[in-house]
Amino acid sequence: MKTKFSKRIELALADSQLRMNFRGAMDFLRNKRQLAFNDVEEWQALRKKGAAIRQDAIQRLPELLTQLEHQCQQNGIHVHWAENGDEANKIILDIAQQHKAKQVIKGKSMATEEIELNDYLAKHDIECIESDMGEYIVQLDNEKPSHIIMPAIHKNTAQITDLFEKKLGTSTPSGDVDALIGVGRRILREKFEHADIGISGVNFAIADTGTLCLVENEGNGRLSTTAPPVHIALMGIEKVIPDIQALPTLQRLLTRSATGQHITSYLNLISSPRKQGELDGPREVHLVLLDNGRANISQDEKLQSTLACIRCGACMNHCPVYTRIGGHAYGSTYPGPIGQVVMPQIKGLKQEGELLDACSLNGACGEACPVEIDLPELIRTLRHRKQENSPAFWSKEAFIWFVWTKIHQHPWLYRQTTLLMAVFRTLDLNYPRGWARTRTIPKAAKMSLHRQVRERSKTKKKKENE
Amino acid sequence: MSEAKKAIFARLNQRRVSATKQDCKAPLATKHLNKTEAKNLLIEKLQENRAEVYSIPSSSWTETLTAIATERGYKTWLFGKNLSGAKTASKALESVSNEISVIQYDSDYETLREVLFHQVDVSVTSVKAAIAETGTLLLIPDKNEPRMMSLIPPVHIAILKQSDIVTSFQQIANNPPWQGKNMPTNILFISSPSKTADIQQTIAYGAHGPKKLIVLIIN
Repeated sequence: MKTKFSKRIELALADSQLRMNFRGAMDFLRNKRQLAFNDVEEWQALRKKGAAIRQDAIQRLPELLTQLEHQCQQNGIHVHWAENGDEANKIILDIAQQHKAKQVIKGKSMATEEIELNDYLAKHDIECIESDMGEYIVQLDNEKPSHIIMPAIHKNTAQITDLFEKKLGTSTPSGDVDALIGVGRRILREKFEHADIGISGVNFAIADTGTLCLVENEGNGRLSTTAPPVHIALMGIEKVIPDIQALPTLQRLLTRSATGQHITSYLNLISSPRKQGELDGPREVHLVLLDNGRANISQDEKLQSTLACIRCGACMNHCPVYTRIGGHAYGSTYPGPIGQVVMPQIKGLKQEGELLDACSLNGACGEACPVEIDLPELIRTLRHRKQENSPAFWSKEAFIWFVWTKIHQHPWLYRQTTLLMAVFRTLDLNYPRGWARTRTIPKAAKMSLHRQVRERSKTKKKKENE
Repeated sequence: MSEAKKAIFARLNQRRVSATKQDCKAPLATKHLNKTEAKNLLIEKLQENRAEVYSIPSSSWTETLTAIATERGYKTWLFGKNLSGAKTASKALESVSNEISVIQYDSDYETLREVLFHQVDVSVTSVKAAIAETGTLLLIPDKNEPRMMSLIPPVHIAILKQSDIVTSFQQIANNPPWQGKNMPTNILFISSPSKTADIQQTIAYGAHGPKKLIVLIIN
């Protein structure tokens, strides 16, 4: 059983190390992104085009997915369909068992986090090792990623040095990042050499050629999809794009928004397993297409744009709430604004609806989004739906607003209320307790503004008469 | 059709949302670079991303390789079959010192795996095209130059003809150097040595792939 969201927030806010790590990381990523988009006109044109490409693809999902499946099969890629996480896990397990696999190496993939693949395979005695450096660090500490692009962003170098020492028995000089990466490289290369299966996500899938695109810096994505004899790719059905002409725009938006890079070290386009006569690459490639709520989102006029997301993480980097509480407090696969929008839709408002509370509607996420997803509007829509489904009148908030409305609709009542507030101004209402722990609760004035103005004009008149 | 596919398509085909026309092909403002500008920009971007770049006349790439071998002591070299001067280069390298050996990627990965992971110091590949705007090399691995060549060895030397430099990725996407819908097994865009910033946003090179990327531009 998960702790309450508010409790997790409280714990995160009290952890000053965590807050420093996030503050530093978010400032860094925001500056990098801003430098990459220094030409405002270019950014706007690029963004508009990116939004159009994604919106168009979502509108044409049935057509594009049919084409993608057909073309992949033509190329020799096996295509599977999964309605939810359970089905996707089963499909992947089946393939692994057919090959008597014991060791799986994984490139970075949020979709596999969404279906909790590692735990599932572990239950069936298949070890699944994360190979992205950040994911590897997080897995080593039995944690989940706290950011969709930089999974170990909540830890600093010293904490990772300690973790490696404790779990791997290494001793690297303090503050030496190169040495830490060297350790990861050595251990994971060994895994790449001997793994039975490689699993990856997909950043974009090109429908008309049946091509899977992977964007990365480390080379672990390339190794996971080239070294093992079998490659399984898992993707949400929304990640399809029509053709390669659409790719440059999305690539530019994705990498610049995510890390401020104009391009990543590697862009890897995979269209088939090893062909006759070729000397390397997997002999089998599988593509698992995951719905998990996405098809329904595509049929909701107000929420459809959720699917345009290219998972760059810019919305969380710009979110004042995420910056302060970090990714783990959300307790969900996708944190930050996009998580607040995605999670309640795939897991239900009842289970994940509380995530929607952690938003001040400041609008920063919507402005940072490279494909023009109006995240604040999506959050408002979901908040509305959440209230619609609950007996809203009797909730505390709804009751307060009801009374407030009545008071403001009736001048007589309004005057009486302000009068009462001036009389009982020192009365402790006990309401904003949490807020007031570090602040002074303001008191109502001795006299309402209306009365003050009235009194003043009275004295003025008196003076004039004298 | 699988049950899952049927159910997913039933949901997708409810048509509860009306489609609006999207302008997906709007042209974006692009730079126009002449040959020299393109080359200079490519070099600048590659160097920004920590690649080493040598711009050399066509006669001398063997000399450049032997110079690198002598200077840095790279011992085991890996070649494919796409580079036309590979034979000459191999001979020249082996004559530098008897410690230097040249391996050909001519058997399958399973046979060569040990050697690839544990012996090869440097591999040399051709490059299909390059993108000046981002400092990116386009490699299309095939049976003559397999995928692992630019991935496992700690040093990757890429040989690019100056005439193959274009300005943008969009140009390649619009006029791809492959046959229409018939995509090669694997296409790679490489812009730097392997790197990561996963530990406290500090960049470290040689995360999983090559620690060094050396580009020879042949004029």
